[in-house]
Amino acid sequence: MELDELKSAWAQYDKKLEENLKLNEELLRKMNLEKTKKELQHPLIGEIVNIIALSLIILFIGSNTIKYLHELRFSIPGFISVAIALFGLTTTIMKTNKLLNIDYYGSSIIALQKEIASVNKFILTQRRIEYFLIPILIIAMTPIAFKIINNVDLYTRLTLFITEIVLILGVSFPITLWVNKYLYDKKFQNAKRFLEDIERFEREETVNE
Amino acid sequence: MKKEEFISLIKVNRNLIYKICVSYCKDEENRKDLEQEILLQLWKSLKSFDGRVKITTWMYRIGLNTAISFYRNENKGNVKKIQLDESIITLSIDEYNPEKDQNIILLYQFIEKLGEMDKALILLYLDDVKHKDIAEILGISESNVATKISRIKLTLKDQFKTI
Repeated sequence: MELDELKSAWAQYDKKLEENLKLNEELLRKMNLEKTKKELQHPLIGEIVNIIALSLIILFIGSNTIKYLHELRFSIPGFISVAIALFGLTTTIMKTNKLLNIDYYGSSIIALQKEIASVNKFILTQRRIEYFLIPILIIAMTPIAFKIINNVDLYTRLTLFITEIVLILGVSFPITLWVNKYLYDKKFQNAKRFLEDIERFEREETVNE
Repeated sequence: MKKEEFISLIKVNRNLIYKICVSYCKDEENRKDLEQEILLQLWKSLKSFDGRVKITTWMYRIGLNTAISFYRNENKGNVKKIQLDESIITLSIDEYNPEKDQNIILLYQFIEKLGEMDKALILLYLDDVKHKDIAEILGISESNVATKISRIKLTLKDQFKTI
């Protein structure tokens, strides 16, 4: 059977649908059509919260690192914390920017799906890096945070400090590895594969022309 | 556009939404959700419709984009549930049951095997959308549309050669 024959069967089917499909107007009227606007904002709200939290960390740790600049045991982890938080802030701003710039309504299918898949891939890559950086950030931040908040020098209480590091690393790294392997790797591969499919779909054009 | 005009627009083009939903969702519950999601997206996008393309071209673009995103979410088990339990567009099975139409069953079986992008292409082709409009909706050139349709025709010939 040829596609053209099936096309005429499809036209018949369309005619039958025209006669038999009913639109429940009352239900459509009842539907809350404005709801979607709020739902679309959810990923953005998360990113904005991240921006605020990271900015506060940078300000708080940054200003106190300068205060203890000459005490290297505080200033070095302070700078490491600020560097990690700055990296997080930059990528979060990039994510927010990408999410805000997705043209949902003016784009062709290829352009929109490619954009969504690229943003997805970017977010998943960043998330995997973030999972590895968070324990390092906590460890680096702790001595300076203890000093500022409790006026306790963790380096003089080595047992407490080492226990804390062992606990953070012992708990967070296996979780990080597990989450990345079983949750994000699959999602990442999925996004990557879809992006490759779209690019293949586009590439055929270049080959054919 | 007011809600009443929107309802009229949906009424006229209910076939288009129905066929997209059936092609992208096997499961009836998910199909109902997809239908509502497409309606929500169409309503939301109305403000951006500037009349430069035909209204059906624009509806296909929004509908197919929503279906592709939804279909991928459905596969990931992350379907966004909306509030309604009933289907807004319904087919009166008593008068016409497409499940008894052998050619249509075969076509849907064939469509199901295609990738997300090819699925959109074949739907537009079967709905007799012009190559120029298919190119506009998908975002590829007209020559590429023609090539892809020829390729799908060959695949179809292989699949249905026993019929």
